[in-house]
Amino acid sequence: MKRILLIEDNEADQFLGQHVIQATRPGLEVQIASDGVEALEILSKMESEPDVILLDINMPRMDGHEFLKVFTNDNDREIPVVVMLTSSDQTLDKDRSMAYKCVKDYLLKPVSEEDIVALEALVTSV
Amino acid sequence: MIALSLIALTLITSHALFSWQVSLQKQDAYLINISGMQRMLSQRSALMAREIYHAESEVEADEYYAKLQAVTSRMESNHRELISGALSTGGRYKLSPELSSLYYGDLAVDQQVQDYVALCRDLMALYQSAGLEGVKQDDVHNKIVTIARNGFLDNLNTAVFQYEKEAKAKVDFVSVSAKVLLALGLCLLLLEAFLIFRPIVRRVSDNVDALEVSNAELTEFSYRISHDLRAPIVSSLGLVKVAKSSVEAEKTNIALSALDHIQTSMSRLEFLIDDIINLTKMKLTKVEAEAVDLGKVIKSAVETISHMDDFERLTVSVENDVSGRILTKRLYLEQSLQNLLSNAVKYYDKTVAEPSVTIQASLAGGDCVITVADNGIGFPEDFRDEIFGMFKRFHPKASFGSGLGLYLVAQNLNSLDGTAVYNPLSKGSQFTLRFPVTRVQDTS
Repeated sequence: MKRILLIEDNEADQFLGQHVIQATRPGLEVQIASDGVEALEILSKMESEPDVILLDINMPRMDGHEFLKVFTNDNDREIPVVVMLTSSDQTLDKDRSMAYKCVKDYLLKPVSEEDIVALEALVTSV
Repeated sequence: MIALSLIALTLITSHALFSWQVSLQKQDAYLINISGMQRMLSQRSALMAREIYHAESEVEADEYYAKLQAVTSRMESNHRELISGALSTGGRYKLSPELSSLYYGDLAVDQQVQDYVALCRDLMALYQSAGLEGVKQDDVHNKIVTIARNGFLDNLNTAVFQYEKEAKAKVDFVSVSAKVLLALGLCLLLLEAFLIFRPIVRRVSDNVDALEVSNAELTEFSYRISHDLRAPIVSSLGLVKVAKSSVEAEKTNIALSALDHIQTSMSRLEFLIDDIINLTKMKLTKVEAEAVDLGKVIKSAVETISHMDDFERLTVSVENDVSGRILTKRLYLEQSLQNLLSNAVKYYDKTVAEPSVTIQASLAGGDCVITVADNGIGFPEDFRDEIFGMFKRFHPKASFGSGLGLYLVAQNLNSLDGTAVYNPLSKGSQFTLRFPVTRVQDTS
């Protein structure tokens, strides 16, 4: 695991995510998108897909569910591992997200170092 | 209530009419029966009179005498019932003018029956006093037979037809009445369906629609509230951990950044809580219209937001053409202005040399029109239809809004019977609030 795309609108959570990831695995490259729209822009400009996408659900303009719908509909794309990272503990949100094949886990905020270690194991196993 | 009473009245009238008809039918059937029986009795008495006359022995004559006596008595009692109107079945009836004329007029059927019965009685008295021989020497039996054969039967027949005719007329009347009542009942049902049930169904259906909308809003509201209240707290807990470990590792800059983010998260939570309180206040408080100095309301709204960060960077201009006082619901108006002004501060464009917000107020017709225009970052074009929706946020880089502010503005203007409209500017946003007001005549 070398590159992570963190899709998160809240600046506090962006800071926290980036800090926890780099404190756990200092060499990892973390890119940040502030919502689904910006994430699609960033992804279209990338030469290769990131190893994992950490995806929030409640975001302005395009939320996590809408992003998954658009992103997974693109057949030409190689879909990386997606892990949800959200404050929503609603079953409906979890079920909707986990219905996508690419979504491998559903993490509740705040993100911890243990989460990053588990994430690395998950990406390696896929 | 009146509608149901009318239907009940129609049903009761129908029932009463049919009950009355059934009892009349019984009585008419009885009258037709006994008037018909009179025809038969007239012929039978003549036959008995003849048989007595032709009897060959006293024993034979006695037998016919007894029969004549029974027939005559029956004929007499039947006639009494027919002309008196007091029936042996307990019912009463009144002779129609036609029947009266038949019995007592030119045909004089009453007199004919009485005379005929008297002749029969004469024959029986003769038999009693003079025996069979006495009868054979007299021609009273001949008189009886002659009357029975000539005209008397026809007259009794006329009476039977008259009874039948009158019964049929009653049946026809009831049949027409039943049709009229049926038509009346159907018309009533039709009228009630159109004038009462249709409007009720429409009203119930509208209420159900409104309830469904309200329920959907409530579900969305509780889902988002549970998330948005939790989110900044959860972030802050993670950030506190980072701050602590950074202090321990003497990485002060990181600790300070974490603390800054905690502060932002808490401010965001405060905004959200304020908006929830305002929304609850708006939904629960019964706000009455009051005489309001619009200039003071605008000033108060500006003062309320003046503590916000970055407020000092904005130039706030007020152009109020509304002099005197107007009658309106102050709380809704002030909350709406505060929200629009705080948006102008939250979303001002940092790249603009002179960020500004301008409030203009005027009266047009019976409406008060207030515009709030800024040269801030505006709204993305794709989302302009949704800006008054609940929990709508459009600025990913500025996530401190609760997404409830403009929803509250739209709700408030709805409560003022007015509208809130968004007009995009080439640079920034303009909101127009329009609501009906009454000018207050100041007597002082």
